[in-house]
Amino acid sequence: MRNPFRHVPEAPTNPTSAPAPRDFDVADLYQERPASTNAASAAEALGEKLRQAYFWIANTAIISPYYDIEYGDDPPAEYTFGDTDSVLTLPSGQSYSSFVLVPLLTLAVRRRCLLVGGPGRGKTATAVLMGLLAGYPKRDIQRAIQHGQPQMTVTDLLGNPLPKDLVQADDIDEIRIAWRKWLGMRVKIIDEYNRIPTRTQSALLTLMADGYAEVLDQVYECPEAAWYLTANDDAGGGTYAVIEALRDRIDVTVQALHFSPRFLDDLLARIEARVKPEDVIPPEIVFTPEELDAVESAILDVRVPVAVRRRLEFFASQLEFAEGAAEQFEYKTKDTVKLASGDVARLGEDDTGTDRLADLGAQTLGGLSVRALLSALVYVKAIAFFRGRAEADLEDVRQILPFVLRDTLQLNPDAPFFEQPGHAHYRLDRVGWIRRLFDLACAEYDRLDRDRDDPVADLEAEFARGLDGLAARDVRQRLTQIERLLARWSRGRKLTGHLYDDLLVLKYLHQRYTNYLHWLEWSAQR
Amino acid sequence: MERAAVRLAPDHPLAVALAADRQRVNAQFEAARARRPGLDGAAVLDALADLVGPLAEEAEVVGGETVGAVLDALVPLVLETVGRGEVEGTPAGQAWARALHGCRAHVVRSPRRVARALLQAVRRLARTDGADAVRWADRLASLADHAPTAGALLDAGAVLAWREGMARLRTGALRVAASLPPPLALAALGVPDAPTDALPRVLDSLYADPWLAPVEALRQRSEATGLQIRAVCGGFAGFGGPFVRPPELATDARGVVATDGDRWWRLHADVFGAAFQRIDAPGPATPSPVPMLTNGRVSWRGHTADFPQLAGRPGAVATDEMLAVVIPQSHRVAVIAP
Repeated sequence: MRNPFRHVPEAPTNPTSAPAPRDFDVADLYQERPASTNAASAAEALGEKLRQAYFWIANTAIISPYYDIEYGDDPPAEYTFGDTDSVLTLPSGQSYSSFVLVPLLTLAVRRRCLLVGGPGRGKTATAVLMGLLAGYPKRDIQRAIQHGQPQMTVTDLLGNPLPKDLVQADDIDEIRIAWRKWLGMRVKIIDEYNRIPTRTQSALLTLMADGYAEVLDQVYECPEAAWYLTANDDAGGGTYAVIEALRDRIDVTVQALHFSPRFLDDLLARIEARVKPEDVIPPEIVFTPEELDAVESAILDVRVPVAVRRRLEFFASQLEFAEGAAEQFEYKTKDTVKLASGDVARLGEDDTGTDRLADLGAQTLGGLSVRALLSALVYVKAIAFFRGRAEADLEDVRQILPFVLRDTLQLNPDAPFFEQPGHAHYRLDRVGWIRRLFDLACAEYDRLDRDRDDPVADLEAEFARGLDGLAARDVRQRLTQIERLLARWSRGRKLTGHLYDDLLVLKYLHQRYTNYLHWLEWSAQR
Repeated sequence: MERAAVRLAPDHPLAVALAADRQRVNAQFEAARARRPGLDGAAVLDALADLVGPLAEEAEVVGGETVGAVLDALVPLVLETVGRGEVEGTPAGQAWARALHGCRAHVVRSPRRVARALLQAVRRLARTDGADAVRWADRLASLADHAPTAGALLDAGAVLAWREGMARLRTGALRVAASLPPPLALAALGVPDAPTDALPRVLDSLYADPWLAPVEALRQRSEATGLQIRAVCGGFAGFGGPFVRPPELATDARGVVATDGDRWWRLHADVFGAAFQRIDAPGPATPSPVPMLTNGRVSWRGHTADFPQLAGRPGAVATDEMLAVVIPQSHRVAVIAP
């Protein structure tokens, strides 16, 4: 009889074309590359396997009947409830539960995922399932979980020096370390990481950021791994404050939602069948290390079209600018204020002539780090691959961005936006707020008609074609074009975040052309 | 991109090194392509196999981490040369390949320094009138076994480059030749069969007379038979020369200088070639021995010769070593010496 807990449907989960493989690979020099159709179908098969894994977890293992990552070609049907006008939407396309999908994407791209939520919501269980999907036996995974606790030492985390060597060694290099087995695994789980003492957090940081462990000058190089950290409360409620650098290394944060009592019968069925999901994981959704390598490679091949990238750029450009932070143009950023221990929120209240309600930058206390943008791009590619797309679309960005920025984008609770009727909850709902922020940025992008009217993008594209063979006359023409644009924009325009970034790009291009022109003139004289 | 055929066996040292560093090399390619969108991946793979493959084989014999060091040094250069279209079909690219292979024992021991130096050398030679970069590379390769160190090889390369026509290297080349092992120095000077104790005498003679060829210096006898035009150099900027107007000549303590009114150049000329080198400004003017120039007849230092092409009112200056004459109705300068 078929075990219902192990069943994986054979029907394609979301049939579409797979991404094109990369066109340059030095491996072509020494190994046959599969024909492109085979490579494409291999990527397609892996995408299908990833989706099957998702649906098995979402439907069978973790009871998570929440579809908060919503897709659809048509506008969703909406129903409004209650005095607060709470809106329930019915997406028309295949939608997903973030609590299952985001950890699964983390396994595929080998990044770092923080699972937050109250006790008993399935955070650790989800992380364990990811280890099982990576092919580890349940016993190994469970033993490899590092349980954060206030007495945890660096050697508890990493390994102990051999006692015999400690006594007999004449040199520190002779002291061998019994490294903990979990360091070599491709899935790493740190339970309740905010209960780890600060010093041990620093050792964890080295491990997460640089991929090696160090004890008594001995170094252990760890393989690339998917990291899962859990916390009951990621807003400072742990035993120890999480060091900023460690928090910054987390690529994505996802919240475990509550258990819906309407699904109690599923729990009952498990009890009566004496089944734990982690014991019955179907072998056809378990990935080999090679398959996971191939999945990651295929994900990185997913294209992010210029139109999508431009909107992400436009969104990011709203956030860092602080007009009153400095005199030098380049330093007019929130970073400058923070480095001088200034108050970003207070500085924003100074009258600069901009509408603080419309200024999206007023809602944040900081901008996006390079690391956050890198994580965003990787996860955008990952979710597009998961959906079977060769190319990411705007909805991929909109859906995944809140989980990437949830812990890194600092909200300014004093911003006028949050005082608006119906906006107070955004102070608490980070996912909803970031998605709304992105929507507002896109609306402004559309209002400015940036897809068709973006002179800076045109100049960048012109520059990207390269300087080789460009004549001095053409360079002077482009310099004049930049100067005219600056002169036109300087007349009566408010200085906003996106304009600020555009101006810096124009200055950059002007400088590159100026240097090139000097070089041309110098060369002509030789 | 055209798919390249598999060129290397999986156990080839280059294949092993590339497999270990695959992601980084691929990333280097992508970064290079971002700078040069037309960068051809197949051409890069071919260049890696052709240029770096034999070096990796040599490096494996040396052992240690040599293959990795060769890869680290050569990949950026391969990307740069392919991106600039230098590898295929240009004298510089052809010469670089020959120099790399001919000097591979030195390249693998000091890949970053030697590979880059060889590339810069062939590029300069390729831009020098009359120089043959491929011939230079072949000559250098023939000296590789005699050079005890990479530094000695590169110094010998400077001597060879001077002989290829880079007159401005003359003083430096003679100085480094004196510091090289005599057999290597004499071979680089083109007199490999000379007795080793002849080197100081040869160098002294070459220092003293820029128009003496090394073989003449060895015999202590010049074969010159009177005034002759040794070189013609310069030219109109519109045709690739340095001058926008016919130049005017002058002399300073270091020799002949020329100006087109706005900018200055120094004239380097000797038995191997002549060229102008851009300078910011000449030194203080020095008096120039006045040559006799009448209707193309030149009288200087006891010699007289007729040069009909110089008839007219050419500007001329002289130093102890040469007579420089602006050819009438042109932007070119004739260098006359006995």
